[in-house]
Formats: sequence, C-alpha cells, structure tokens
Amino acid sequence: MALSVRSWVANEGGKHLVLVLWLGANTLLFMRTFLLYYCGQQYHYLHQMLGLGLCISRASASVLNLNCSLVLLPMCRSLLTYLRGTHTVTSRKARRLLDKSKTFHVTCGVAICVFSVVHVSAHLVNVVNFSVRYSEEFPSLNVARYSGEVRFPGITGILLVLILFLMFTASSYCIRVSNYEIFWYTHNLFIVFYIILIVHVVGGALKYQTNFEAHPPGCLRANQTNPDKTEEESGQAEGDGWSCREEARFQPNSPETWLWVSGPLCLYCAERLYRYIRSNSPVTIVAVVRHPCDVIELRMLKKDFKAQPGQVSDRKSYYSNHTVAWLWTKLAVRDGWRHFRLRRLYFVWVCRELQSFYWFAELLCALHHKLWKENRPDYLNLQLFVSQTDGLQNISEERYRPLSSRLMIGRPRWKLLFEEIGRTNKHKRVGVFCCGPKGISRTLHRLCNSDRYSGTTFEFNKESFS
Amino acid sequence: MGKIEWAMWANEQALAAGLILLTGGIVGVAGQFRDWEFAAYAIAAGVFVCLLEYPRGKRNKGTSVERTGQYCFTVCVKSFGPLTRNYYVRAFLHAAICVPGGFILATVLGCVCLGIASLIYLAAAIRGEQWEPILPRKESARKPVGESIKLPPQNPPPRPPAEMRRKRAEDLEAAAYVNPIAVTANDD
Repeated sequence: MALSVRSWVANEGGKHLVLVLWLGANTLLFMRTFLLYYCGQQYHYLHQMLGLGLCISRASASVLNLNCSLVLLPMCRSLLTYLRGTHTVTSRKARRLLDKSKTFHVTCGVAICVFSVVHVSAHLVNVVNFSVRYSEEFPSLNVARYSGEVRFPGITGILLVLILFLMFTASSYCIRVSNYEIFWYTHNLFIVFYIILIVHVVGGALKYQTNFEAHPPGCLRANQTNPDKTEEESGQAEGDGWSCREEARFQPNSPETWLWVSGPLCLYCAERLYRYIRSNSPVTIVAVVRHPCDVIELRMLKKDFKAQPGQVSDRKSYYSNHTVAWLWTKLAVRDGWRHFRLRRLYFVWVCRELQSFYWFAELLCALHHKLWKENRPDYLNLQLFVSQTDGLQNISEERYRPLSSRLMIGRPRWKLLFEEIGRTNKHKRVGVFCCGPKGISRTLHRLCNSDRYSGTTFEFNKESFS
Repeated sequence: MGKIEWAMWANEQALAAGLILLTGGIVGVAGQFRDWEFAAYAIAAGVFVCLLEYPRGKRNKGTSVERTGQYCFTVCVKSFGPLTRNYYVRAFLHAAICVPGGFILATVLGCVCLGIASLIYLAAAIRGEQWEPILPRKESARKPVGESIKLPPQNPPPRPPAEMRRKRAEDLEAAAYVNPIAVTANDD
C-alpha cells in the first residue's frame, strides 16, 4: 500500500518529532558528560586510574537522571486530562500527542533499563580498576584501601537494580493482561526506587580535583624529574613540564540526582494524593445489569462528575474477574459533540458472538431513534459485524430492528469501508478511533497512512485498556 | 489475588535473570576479572536458562500469548516431560544454577535475580501450577460435532428438529420402524 506523505505527517509526525527531540536530548547529555570526564582537567587523575569505564559510567548516569525524571511526567494523568479537557492546550495535534503519554513512559522506562545495564557494567570495570590501579601518589583518590583490594560500596546500586528488575519483569504485555495486580503492586515500588536513587550518589566514591590551577594535572612534583605518564589514554596533560605549586586535593562529586528527580517526584506524589482525595467522595451504584457473554454493566453516580464525550473512567475502577466491566458515560451525541464540529459518526462494531451486541442494543436504538426524530438520519452510520460465521445468527427482537437490518456476517473489509468513507467525505478530516486487538489496530493504522482516499485525511487514534 | 498465575511472572523473571547472568558473565570474561572462570560458567548458565524459559506456558484460563518463534523451543522443552512440567524441579534447578554466580561481583546480580525467580516458581509449584505447552490448535476441534450426526436417521421423513427427535427416543416403540432398504453409515 503506497504511503501518503500528508497522512503520514498527520498521524506520525508529532510522535516522531517528540522522539527525535528526546533522542537528541539523551545523546547531547551523554556526549557532554562523556567529554567532561574524558577531557576535563579536574578528572584527569581519576581518568588515568579508571579509563573509559569512568566516562561511560558517568555519561550513562546523567542519561539515567534525565529519564528517571521524565518517566514520571506522562503518568500525571489528572494533569494531562486537565490540559487536554479544558482547552488549555488548544492545538488538536498537541492534544493527540498527549494521548501518547503511555508510550512515552514506556520509552523512558526501556531507556532506564538499557542504560542501567551500561552503567552497572561500567562500574564493574571501575571496581576492578580501583583495585588493580591503586594509586600510591594520590591515596585520597582511591576507593580500595590497599592495592588489590576489591571494595564495592554499591549496596544502593544493587537494590536499585533489583527493584527495577521486579518492576520491569512485571510490566510485560502478557502479565498486564492476565494478572494486572502483579503489575500494579510492583510498579508502586517506584517510591522506594526513587528514595534509594536519591541516596545512591551520596557515597561519594568518585572525586574531582579542586585545585587544578595551582596543581595542573601532569605537573612535576617535588620528588620527580619526569611527568608520571603510565597510560596512553591520559594524553598530553596540561601541566607537563610545569612544577606543581601544591599537592593535588580531591573532593567527592556532589550528588545531583536529587536536582533532576525531586520536581517530577513531588508533582507525581501530589497527583496521587489528589487522586486519593477525589476517590474518597462516594459513588452510588445505581444499577447492575448483567449482559450475555459474561459482561456486567455498572451504572454509577458521582457528585460533581461531568462526563466528556467519549470518556471512560480511570483504570482504578476496571477489574477483570473473567468478566469485562465497562464503565461507560453516555455514548450520546450530546451538545458537546458540536464543539468538535462533528458532521458524521461511523460506528463499526465487530463481535465474535451475536449476544455481545445486546450490551448496547438499547442505547444504540435509542440514539438512532433520537436522530431520526431530529431529522438527522445520516449523522450516525451503524455497521455491526459478527465474525463467527457458523450457524444462523440474527437479532430477532422487533425493538432492535435498526440493529438487525445493519447486521452483517463475517469480518469487515476495511479497505472498502475506508474507500467509501473517503469518497463520501472528500477533503475532510476523519478521526479513526480504534479499540480492539493488535491485528485490527495495525491494519487500521496502515490504512490511515496510505494514500488512496481522494484528499481525505484519516487520523488514527488508539484506545487501550492494558 | 486468588487467581494470579505466579508461574507467568516467574517465567518473565527467569528469562530476564538469564540475560542478566549472561551479560555479567560476558563483562567478567571480557574484563579478565579475577576468577573469570565463574564468569564463563555464568555465560553458559545464562544461555541455558534463557533456552529453558523462552517458551511460555499455557494459561489456565484465557488466551495464551506466545513469544515469537517459540514453537521449536516448546517442542524441546516438552520432550523432557515431568522434569520441565513440574515447577518444583524448576525452582530447585534455578536455585542450584544461581549459586556459583554469587562468587564474583560481575555475576552477583544475575544470581540474586535468578534466586528471586526460583522463589516465585516455588510459590507457583505450591499452588499446584504446571507448565503446559502452547501447541497449535487443531482446526477440526473447533466445533465438536455430536455422535448422532454420523448415524443414519431412525425415522422416515418428514423429520422434526433434533430436540423433538430426542423426545421421541423416549417412546422407542412408536418411533422405530424397519427400513425397506438397508441403510449403511456414511464414512465420509
């Protein structure tokens, strides 16, 4: 299928721009820190001792700082809902970007895992080098107490990796779908993770030289005739040939992780507190309706809750016990839709069994009837598909006639559907909202990016519940 | 919490722990650490654990999601029968494998992670979970067909629908008759 540049930009442009900016920020930070430790005068002697391991461990640490602070921001859901809902963010492109917050969170999470591996590996090499290249000249620079001692002051690091291990292994797609509680409870270990992270750097194993003006690295010390250059990689030190005015003095690096993470951490904790306070207001369950195929409909009333079109309640209220609980605010064409200048609504619903359509049969028929009365019969186009083709299937009840006449057996042919919608809505913008398995989602995403539709742009949006 | 399948989580953990053990082993060997032989062991142990844990087991209820290309691994793991089906065996196996990793710094993380996975497997085994292979579904098993469809009809036409026919089976005397032409079962 040929790609349409306009459709691709409409669907993928914003996401990819954010990705490029994020990659750029990470690369810049990594290179800047790497070069600081590689070339910086204050780290000359330390670099001589530890080599590349120092540069890589510090560079990956700064990338970790950035990602640990960014990873919390997409999870401030109440804040994002506020930004999206009250038109504070006016551009639709920006609002659609906010829908990708979970993807951004996962991206930062994966980056944290990858750079943790790099960071830990580099520190392992550092531990060996601290031991093997014990420095007699600058004893305060050492972590080992004597040459050959393997000293590992990294208990906070081990704890961090273990918590990350638990969080990461419990967040795979199949665990989230089958045993959501494992994912939720292990992910709440984030608070322990952040507390230990802030304490992690306080140990001060790595030191910098405070007096490199008075003691340029590589300068001639009182009992030397030649500069002590043992490694090629230390390069030409600036102080070669000069005599030292003072002994080198070292001080531990001051921890900067807390600078990065405390802001987002406080914001997220405030968000959780706000959610907790809001959840304390009582909710009345008005009705519990049992539908076919193990589905329960809960109708609830909550004080001061105003539904936005298309809104579904947050995940706290979703529980799976081999039943699907749908918390649904009125899928109704209310006045709210007019704000979005909606001209037409195509509702395509694919179910495996006929019984599933009974979940919303009343609502759909009521809506159809209401629009008929308002003389807007073309506003809502219903298409129902039953994908399991065995056996005779029909909705026989008279009151559900609008549904039975729009029922088709077999799976929808998406290409034809898109072509029809494209032809009847030329040069318009069509929003496609998909909620379903990955196969359908991928097909629809590809179709939205292709170029067969006479000037119509299809914007793809996906709703996920896991 | 009652219906949690702990084995699924233990499987993810063991796979990740295998990779961590492998990485630690590579770093230990490449960095020529002291006692690098333990790191070399960790590489082999990591590969073994990854191969054992790659095929996901079948869920008790609901759809099981396979890992990409896991079918050949499933066949290999299945061939060991009760050794791989039983989670007690896996728990003790992982506990034993992880111990040598604890002797050098490079592999100590892999050791601890595999130890945690072993504990979760033990919990799964205590709850009676078992590893079932995910095998491709046979198409013919989709619609179970009743046996009666293979037998020729007992009555001449017009014949009522099956539910009504069952009622007549209670009154066999009135329902039965002798076919003038011999009827044989259709073997197709």
